[in-house]
Amino acid sequence: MPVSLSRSAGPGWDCLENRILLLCARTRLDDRQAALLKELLSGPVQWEDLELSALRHGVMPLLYKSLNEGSPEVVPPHFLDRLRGYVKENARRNLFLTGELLRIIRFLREHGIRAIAFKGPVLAVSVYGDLASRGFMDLDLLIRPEEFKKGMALLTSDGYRAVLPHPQVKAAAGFQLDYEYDLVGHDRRARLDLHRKIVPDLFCVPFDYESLWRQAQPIQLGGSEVWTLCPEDLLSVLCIHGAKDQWPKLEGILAVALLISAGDPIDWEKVMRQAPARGGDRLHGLGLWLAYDLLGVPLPEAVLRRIHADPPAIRLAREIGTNFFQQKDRQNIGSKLLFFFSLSRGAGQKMKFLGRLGLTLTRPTENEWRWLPLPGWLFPLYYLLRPLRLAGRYGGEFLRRARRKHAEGEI
Amino acid sequence: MASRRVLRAVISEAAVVVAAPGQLSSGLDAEATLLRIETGESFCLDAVGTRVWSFIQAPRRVREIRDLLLKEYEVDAQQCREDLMELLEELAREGLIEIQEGVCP
Repeated sequence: MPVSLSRSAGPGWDCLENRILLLCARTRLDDRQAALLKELLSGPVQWEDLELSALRHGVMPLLYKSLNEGSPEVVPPHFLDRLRGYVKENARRNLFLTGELLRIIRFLREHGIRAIAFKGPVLAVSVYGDLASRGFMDLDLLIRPEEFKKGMALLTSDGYRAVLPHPQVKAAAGFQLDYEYDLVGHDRRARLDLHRKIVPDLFCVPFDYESLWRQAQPIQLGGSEVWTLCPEDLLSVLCIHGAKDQWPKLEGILAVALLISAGDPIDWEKVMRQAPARGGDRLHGLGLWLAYDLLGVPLPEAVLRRIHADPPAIRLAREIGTNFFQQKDRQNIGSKLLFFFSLSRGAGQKMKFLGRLGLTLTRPTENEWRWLPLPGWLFPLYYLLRPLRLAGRYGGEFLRRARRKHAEGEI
Repeated sequence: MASRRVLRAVISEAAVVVAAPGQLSSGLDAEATLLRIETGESFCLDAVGTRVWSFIQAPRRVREIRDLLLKEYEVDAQQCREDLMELLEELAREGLIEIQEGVCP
């Protein structure tokens, strides 16, 4: 991937530490990049800032690899030692979690449940090329909705516990199941996100799960067969997950870039054909443009033409790029919803989004239950309590941001 | 409980060795980390051990591994052989490699 400042570059992009980080955020450096790294490292590097930025953007392993292979002699020994310690610990944790993933998959399979593994170790091996090349703190498994209750019961019998109220408790109180459940192993060393779906209903993202299951493919990991997403579906999932948090980390964009440049060949016609049923055109255009514009990954002309045909996708990407190295708070739910509204293309899709959002927002969730636990037979009261709770918490912020975005022409 | 040990690198030179199934490995520098999936034990290999580990991802005769190491490192041949045997014996004791005597790789 070429190294250059992007058109979307904003404050912080020309800072020496961030230039080093961008250069090192790759699985290998060619001769030109290695020479440029040596040149940058000869400058007045603020090593602590570089370390913090690498941690924040999830690229510490690759920073260490690039520094250790490229120019270890110009890096302070104590700094390299500290990075090495982090990377070793990361490797040990990743190996442990991968072993646990294989054990869980085998356990579920023995009881007739097929699971698709994504992100975590599978992403590390298939896209980054090594289990230690990225950090992950949990495992992600997708199982079919009709098998979810059985899967939860099996994992519970295996010692896993739901972090939030158990699905059975929620079901007894009248709630629908969430898109995923966060589980912790009995010794608290392993954390598993068990998914019924890839993305929360709240973001109103269209997704065809049947074709995703049909297109899943096996890979070999530790001598075992593990089912995972095909490259095109993985690309969609990476774009959705990046958009879910408004692309806060370099690692998210890097994963897209590596999948395109170093993973199995992408069937771009399939990506473009599936995009409307995998989160939408604009969501894909945003993720792809970020990888193209900020990290220089090449894209086919047909894909670039399609992205250019949707200027708001590029505007959104440039806004993300401009603020990338500034620590803006993008985590509040109002900001996320407005962002996903911006990803809807055309009046028709926007109306559908608002319709789905209305249904989703009026449907009670466990937050109402935690606010006021009621027995199952009083569940209908939550339909009254929910709008009151949401208006009180989010209404003002959402309206302020919507007015600002409308004034700026983004929606 | 996973434990970490630095392995140093026994068996005839005609024996064929290969990494055993059921394990994972990773490494971003010269030193690799291994995990035995069945037990959850992890191991660290130093630079030479990592190099040997990379050689035995496919079956190789011990003498072939020795010759490869002699090409890459400036080391006395006898010392190389002894260290290699020690490493292979340790890996075998931990169940990380399979050894077959008197077969073709």
